[in-house]
Parts: sequence; structure tokens; C-alpha cells
Amino acid sequence: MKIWTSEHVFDHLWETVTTAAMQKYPNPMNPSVVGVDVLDRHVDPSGKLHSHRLLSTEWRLPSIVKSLSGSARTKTYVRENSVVDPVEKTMELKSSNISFTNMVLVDERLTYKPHPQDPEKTILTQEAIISVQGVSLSS
Amino acid sequence: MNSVREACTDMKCEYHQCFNRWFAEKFLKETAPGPVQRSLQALLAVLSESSKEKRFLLKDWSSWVMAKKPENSS
Repeated sequence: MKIWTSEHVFDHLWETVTTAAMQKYPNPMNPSVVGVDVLDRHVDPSGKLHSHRLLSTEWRLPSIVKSLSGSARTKTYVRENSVVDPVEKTMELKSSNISFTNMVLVDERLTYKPHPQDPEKTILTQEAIISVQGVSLSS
Repeated sequence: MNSVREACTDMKCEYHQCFNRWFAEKFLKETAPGPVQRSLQALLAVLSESSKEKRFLLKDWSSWVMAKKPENSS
């Protein structure tokens, strides 16, 4: 299991960053995401917006894989759940792969909040937990 | 951005434009709980003070409220 965390500060208001995050794809910085579908979305009684999305990603594999499998491209799917609280000003996203789960598990969690020291900025905290089945990833 | 089902791509585009507008112009601006939410929170607070048996019933009631809540445009 490998845990990776990072923090990033955006020089924009939380509302701007959240609106942009909702429209993150298509994204030239990450062209492997080729499709986004909203499977469910609702506002709960406390006013929070819950979204459940399916992301389709496509990867180009080395040519040796093409000669073995007949195709150099493979589509994988990721499910993403998000909760946006406009009163507390938090946006939390959790995503996990639903393809190749017998080989690798990638769980990612992102949180967007106004920066505690400067509310005109937004802080993004990211955490990814990667597990490869049967392989120890401890460093 | 394509849909996982290509037949849905145009409808999806229309939905996303509608949602993005609602999200930025309405949803994010609702920073105070509305009258329905305030009323619900007050009621839930009173119910949660009751006995353990009633707290168990409270969980079912919350599910009922979520099912009955009118669809918000999105």
C-alpha cells in the first residue's frame, strides 16, 4: 500500500474553484479521461449536493502489449462520489477504480476548502492510496 | 465530453450546460439554510433527544424525508 498526499493553493475564491472543478473534464492536462457520466445527483435535506459520476479513461499501451492483445488502447472506469456543502464551503471528492480491481486499487480523496489564513484563496488537499494486489509497496 | 453511451452525448451536453449554470448561479449562493431545512433541523434535534427507540425511528423518518423532497433542478 502506498499513500501519497499533497496540498495546493489556488489564488481564487472557493466558489470559483468548485465551479471549475465540476467542469474539470475534458482537460488537456489529463487527456486520458475521455468520458464523464453523471449517474446520480441530488441535494439532501441539509442542502448538500451529492453526485455520483462514472469516468472513462483510455490509456495507450506500449506496442508490445498491442502485439499480445491486439489492441494498444484500453478503457478503464473510475467511480467518483462528491459532496458539496455551500454553507460550510467544502467540496469533497472520493474516487476509486472499478476496472482491474483484481490487480490494483487506486483510491483518491480530494478536499477543497477556503484557505484558513486567506479566505480569498482555496486550499486543495489530495490523498491517494494505491495497492497492488500481492505486492508490498512499502518504501 | 463524450458519454459512455454515445447516443447520450447531445443530451448530456444540454444537461451539463443547465447544471453548470444552476450550480454557479443558484446552488453555491444558498449559503444559509432555507426555511424547510431549518424546520427539519429543529424537528430532528427534538426527536434525537428522545429515547433510543425513537432515535431508531428517526433514521427511517430521514429516509422518508429524502424520498419525499421535491426534485431540485440540476
